[in-house]
Amino acid sequence: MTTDQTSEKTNERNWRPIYIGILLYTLLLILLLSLFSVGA
Amino acid sequence: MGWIDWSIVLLYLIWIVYSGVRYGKDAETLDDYLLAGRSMPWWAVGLSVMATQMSAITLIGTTGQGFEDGMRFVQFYLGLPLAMIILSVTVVPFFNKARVYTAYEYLEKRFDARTRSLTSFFFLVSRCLGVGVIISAPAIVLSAIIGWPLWLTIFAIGLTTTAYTMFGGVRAVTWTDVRQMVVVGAALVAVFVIILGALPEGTGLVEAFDTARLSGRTKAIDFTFDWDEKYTIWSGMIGGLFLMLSYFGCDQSQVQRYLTAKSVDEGRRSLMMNAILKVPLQFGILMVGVLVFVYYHYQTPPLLYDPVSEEQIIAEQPEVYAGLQGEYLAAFEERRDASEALAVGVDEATTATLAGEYRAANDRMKEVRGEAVGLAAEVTGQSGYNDINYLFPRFVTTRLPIGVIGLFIAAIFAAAMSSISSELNALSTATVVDFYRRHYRPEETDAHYLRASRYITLGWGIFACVVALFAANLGTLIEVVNTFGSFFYGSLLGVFALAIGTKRATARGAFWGLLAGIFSIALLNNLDILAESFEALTGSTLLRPLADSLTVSYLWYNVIGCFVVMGVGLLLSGKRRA
Repeated sequence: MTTDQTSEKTNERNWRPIYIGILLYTLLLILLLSLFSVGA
Repeated sequence: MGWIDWSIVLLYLIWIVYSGVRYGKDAETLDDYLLAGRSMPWWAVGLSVMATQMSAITLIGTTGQGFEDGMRFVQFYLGLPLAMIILSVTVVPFFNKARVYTAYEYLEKRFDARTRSLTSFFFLVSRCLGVGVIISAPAIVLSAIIGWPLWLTIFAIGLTTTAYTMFGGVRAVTWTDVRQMVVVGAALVAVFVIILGALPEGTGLVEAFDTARLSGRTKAIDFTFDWDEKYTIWSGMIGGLFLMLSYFGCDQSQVQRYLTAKSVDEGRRSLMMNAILKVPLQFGILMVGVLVFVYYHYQTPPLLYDPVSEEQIIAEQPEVYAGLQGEYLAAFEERRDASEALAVGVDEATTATLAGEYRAANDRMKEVRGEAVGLAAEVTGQSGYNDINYLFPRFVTTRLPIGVIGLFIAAIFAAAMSSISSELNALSTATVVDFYRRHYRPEETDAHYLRASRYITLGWGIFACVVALFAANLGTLIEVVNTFGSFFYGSLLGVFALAIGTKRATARGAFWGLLAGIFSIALLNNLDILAESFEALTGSTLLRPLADSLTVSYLWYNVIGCFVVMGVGLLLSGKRRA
C-alpha cells in the first residue's frame, strides 16, 4: 500500500454507524406507518 | 389567476433562467461543464438528486393518488434507504476512483467498449422520448388549468430549461435544482397549512385522518404478499430496492448528480440525505392529497377534474352530465352528513351504522364518478381517459388564495424543469462521451467537446419539445419506449452487479447477459400476447396456464431482470480467471 493510499484510508470517515442508523430509521418509519395504518 | 399570480410565475421563470445561465461563465472546460470540476457540496448534490427524481407528475400525480387511493403509494419508496446504503458502499467509490463522466464509461474499463456502447445506447433510447413526456404531461395539465395554448406551456417549460442547461452545464442544473426544491417545498407547505385552516372548526389533522381512515385512505402499509399487487411492503422493499438501485446507481441522470460531489464522502452524504428525506417527503405529498379528499367532505367536489373536457361534455351531453352531477351531489350530501355525525362522537352501535352509511355513500360517489369518466372517454374519444392529474391543480387554482396559486404554478414549473434539466444534461453527456468522443472524434480538443456538449444539449432540448408537441399522437410509441425502459432497468443493474460485485464476469458474459435479461422481461411482459398468438397459430392452449399464472407487477421486473443478467452473465463467463 502506498503512502497516499494509507492516508486516504485513515482520513476516510467511518460510515458503518451511519448506515446502521439509516437502517434503524427505516425500520422506525415502517413501524410508524404501520401504526398509522391501524383501523384503515 | 390574477396579476399577482402571473407576476410570481414570471418572476420565477426569469430568476431561474438568469441564475442558471450565469453559471455558463464558470464552465470553461469539459470537466467543469459535465462534472462542475467535481466541486459540489453534498447538500446541493443531495437536493439535486431529489429534485431530479421529483418531476411535475410526481407533484400533481402523487397528490391525486393520495386523494383517490390514500397513502399506499408510500411503500414504493421503502426500499430507497437501503438502496442508498448499498450504492454508497459500492458505486460511489467505484465511479469516483475510476474518474468517469458516465456510468457506462466504467463498463468499458471493466468489460469492453461493446458493453459500454450497448448500455449507453439503451439509456439514450429509453430516455430520449421520456424527456418529451416529462415536458408534455405537466404542459397539458397547465394548459387546461391556466388557459395557455399547449405549445406555449411546452416552450415555457422546455426551452427555458434547455437555455440554462445548455449555457450553464451541470453547475447550473445543480444550483437551479436547489432553488426549485425550495420553491416546491414552499408551495407544498403553504398549500398544506391553508387546507388545514380551511377545514371546519374543530377539525384538525387528527380528525382529518379519522375521516380519511373511514375509506381506508390512511392504510400506508400492506403486509399481504401478492405478485400481482402493485404496492405492498414486499414489492416496495424488494422490487422498489432493485428499482432504486438501478435508477440511482446506473441511470446517468442520477449518477451524474453525485459524480459532481467534491469527494467520495460528499457523494455518500448526498445519498444519505436522500435516504433520510425521501420517504417523509413522499408521505407529505400524499398527505396533501388525503387532506384535499377530507376538504371535499365539507365542500362540493367537482365531478370531473379536467375543466376542458368537462366543458366539452356539458356542451355535447348536457342532460346526461347534469343527471350524473345530481346523483353525485346527493351521494356527497349523504357522505357529509354521515361523517359529521361520526365526528360528534356516538355510541359503538351507532358508529357502526354511520360508518356503513358513510362507506355506501362514498362508494356511490366513486361509482358515479366512474360513469362520468366513462362519458368523458366517449365524448373526448380518449379510450384511457384519466383526469386524476388535474385534481390538485384545479383544487389549488379554484380554492386557494391569490399568491398561493402563483406559487403553486411556479412549483409545477420548478418540479418539471428540475427533472428535465438533469435528463438533458445526462443525454448530452452520454452522447458526447460515450459516442461522439469515443467512436467518432476521439482526438479533438477539450474546447471542441465543450462546444459539442452545448450544441447537443440544445439538440436534445429541441427534440424533447418536438416530442412533447406531438406526444398525444405518439401515444403508442411513447408507451412502447416507457415499457422498454422498465425492461431495461433491472437488466442494467445486473450488468453493474456483474462489474462491481464479481471478479469472474467477462465482457462476453456481461454483453449477452444484458440482452438475455431484457429479452426475458419482454417475454414475461408479453406472455399473454404470446399465448394468444400461439393459440391462433397452432390451436393449442398449452401456453395459456403459464400466461395466466405468471402475472407479475412491474416492480418485480427489476428483480427478475437483474438475476437473469447475473445468472446468464456468470454462466457465459466460464470458470474463475486465474
